[in-house]
Amino acid sequence: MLFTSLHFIILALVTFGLYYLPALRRWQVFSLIVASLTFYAYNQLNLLWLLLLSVTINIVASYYVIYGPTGSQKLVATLGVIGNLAILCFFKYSPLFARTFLSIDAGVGAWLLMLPLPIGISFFTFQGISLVVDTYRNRHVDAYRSLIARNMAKHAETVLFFKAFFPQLVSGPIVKAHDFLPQIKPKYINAVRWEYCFRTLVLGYFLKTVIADNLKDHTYIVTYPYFENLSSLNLIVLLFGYSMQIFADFAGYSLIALGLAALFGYRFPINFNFPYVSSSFSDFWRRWHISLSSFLREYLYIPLGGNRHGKARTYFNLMLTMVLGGLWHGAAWSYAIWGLAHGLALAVERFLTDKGLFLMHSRVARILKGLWVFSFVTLAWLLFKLPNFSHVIAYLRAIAVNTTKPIDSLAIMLILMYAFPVVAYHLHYLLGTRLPAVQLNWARWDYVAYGLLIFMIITNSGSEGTFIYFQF
Amino acid sequence: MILKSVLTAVTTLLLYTVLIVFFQDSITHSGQTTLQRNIVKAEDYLYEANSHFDTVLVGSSMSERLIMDILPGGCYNLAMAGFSSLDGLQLIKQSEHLPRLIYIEMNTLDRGQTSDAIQALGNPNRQFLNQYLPFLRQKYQPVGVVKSLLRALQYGQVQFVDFGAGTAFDSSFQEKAVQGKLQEMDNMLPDSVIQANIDVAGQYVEAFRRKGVKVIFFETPIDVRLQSHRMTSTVRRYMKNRFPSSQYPTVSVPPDAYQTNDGIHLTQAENIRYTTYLRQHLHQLTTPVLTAEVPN
Repeated sequence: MLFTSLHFIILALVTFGLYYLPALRRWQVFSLIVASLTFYAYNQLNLLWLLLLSVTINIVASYYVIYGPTGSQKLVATLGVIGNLAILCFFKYSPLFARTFLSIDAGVGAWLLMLPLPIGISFFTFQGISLVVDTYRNRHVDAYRSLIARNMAKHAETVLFFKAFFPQLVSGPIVKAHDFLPQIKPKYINAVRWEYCFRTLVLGYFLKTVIADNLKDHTYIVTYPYFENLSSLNLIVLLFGYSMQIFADFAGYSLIALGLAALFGYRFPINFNFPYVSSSFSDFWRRWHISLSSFLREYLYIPLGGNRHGKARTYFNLMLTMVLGGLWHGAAWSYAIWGLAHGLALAVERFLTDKGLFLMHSRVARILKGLWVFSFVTLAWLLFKLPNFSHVIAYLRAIAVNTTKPIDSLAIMLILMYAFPVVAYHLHYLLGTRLPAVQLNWARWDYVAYGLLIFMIITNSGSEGTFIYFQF
Repeated sequence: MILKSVLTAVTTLLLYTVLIVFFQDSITHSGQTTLQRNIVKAEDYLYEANSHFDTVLVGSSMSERLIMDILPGGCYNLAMAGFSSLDGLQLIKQSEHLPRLIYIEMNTLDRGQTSDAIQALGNPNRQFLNQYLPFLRQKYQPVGVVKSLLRALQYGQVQFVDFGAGTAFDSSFQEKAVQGKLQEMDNMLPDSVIQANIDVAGQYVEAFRRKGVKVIFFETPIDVRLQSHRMTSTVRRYMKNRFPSSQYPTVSVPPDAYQTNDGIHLTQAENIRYTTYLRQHLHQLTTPVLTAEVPN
């Protein structure tokens, strides 16, 4: 079920209506669980059992880490993490394994290739790992222990809710147990932050339906061999458009998730913080898909040793984390290459910083570094759009070679028109950080901007499309 | 803040509606992408054109590029790129008035209905809203309207533009595209799915024929390697079984080879040649129809 579909809007409204009825207050969590399972089962009823299996593993593991026999905690937590990863690996990476190592025409290889990919499996698996690891790490902290109910049924309800809560179920943000569990308590309608909900929902729906959904219908031409017929300038603008599209798609989805969660009284961490203004790769990863990068840092990079074992090991840890982070995005080697490219960029940047090279702090230098980071990031998105690496090379070759092909100026203009709001969104942020007084003046006219966004959502939405990150 | 934003949106919608009503004749070619052009075409047919045309052609991008001025009579080209003939047939079924004659491209009948968007257009609530709130129509999307005005500035009021017309023939690109298509065709749909899709087409055709609408099938030429592929032969066999030419007038694919840009889309010169061929054969089959009475 898409956040942009009528069915979802009806489900959300009905749930919201029931949720705040005083007579049903003690059933608030239950009502959200029912809505969440309906939301998930709407598209993948046949895979609902898998979500429930994943939840069950985490219920048992987190419970026995706290209440199990003394001395068994580490084993239980380890088995819990392995259980989570086993589900993820089997359903997400078996086809890649089959394509790489087995014959796919018949037998086991063909069977593995036919396995369905459960929507949101990467997200709910990571949330499960967060629950088990957080519980293990905080097993001696009373405040955390109190979040794991002694009553197994009550604990099961809490874990099911944590993993299945529909705003974040299929595409994040990846909510960590230590952030979410303390928020589970009765909610009151007079505590709803209406203006926050309104702003995030309007902006989220605008980015998703007006920008991403329209750009999607322009960038579909980035398909082999059709792009080879386009001029170099068109190819560059298409790549730029895809970069804007992927931001609008995912940031829009995340904003909708934040707004929906806030309607039900829950706070999710922000997932995007104007990533395209980053002037370094480490800055970019502090701003892009923040919930994933912070998860990878907390649960992978630091346990690997982080920067505590010398420089060479730090560079290696950075690259390994990014390669695995790349594979998290999809079961194809192109995603691993994408992760490796970002890992290398981070490692080289770290090396140069350690050596004190290229530490330019002037405004012009920051702008140039920002343009370099943006260009690199945008170029790397090509690996998302064209999973076959030879097609990526063909695209880059076409950019270099097709300089004399006729330019389709109308197509360029339309892509730039749809990309403009994303650029303006980032510029507005930059302006606000540099000239706060200007932002203050603009704030008085916010309602005009939001009114126009609503107007555009009603009149200029693109064709309904799934979120790019659904596939992850 | 929320109330003021909503009021701003409502005021803008009202002003925009006035603008649309005032300038609606100047807003043409507002579709920005292939999908949008399809929806605009479908909405135009559903809300405006269906009562004005006795002959309608349905199909995919292969037929979308036919030169309509060459074909006999006033024919509405409802062929839509990326969609199949079934989408066009469904649209005709949803419209208020039926034509007297439908030309059906056979090449894509095996695909089945490809677009939920066309199905959604048939929703009575949506039809009602689209008719009375014009800003909800794809044709009047603000960016599309801006594009339409800019296009008019750039090209003037051009009535017909073929998107492949200005593209020089590129044999290396064509070869890659054909190889890609051959690979796609190797992963052909199961026979049962092809049969089921052709059966759906059969249901439409029979329903139209019962209402006095004449149906003529035609097949556009494609690259010879694709033409002789196992999948094309299978589809053609199913088509012949379901729609034998003794009972269903059919313009067969021309015997000679045609040049394409990408394996399935004819070059501009070949488009003219094929449309002329089609005209000659349709003329023999349509003469009695065009003089018959309009069905109720």
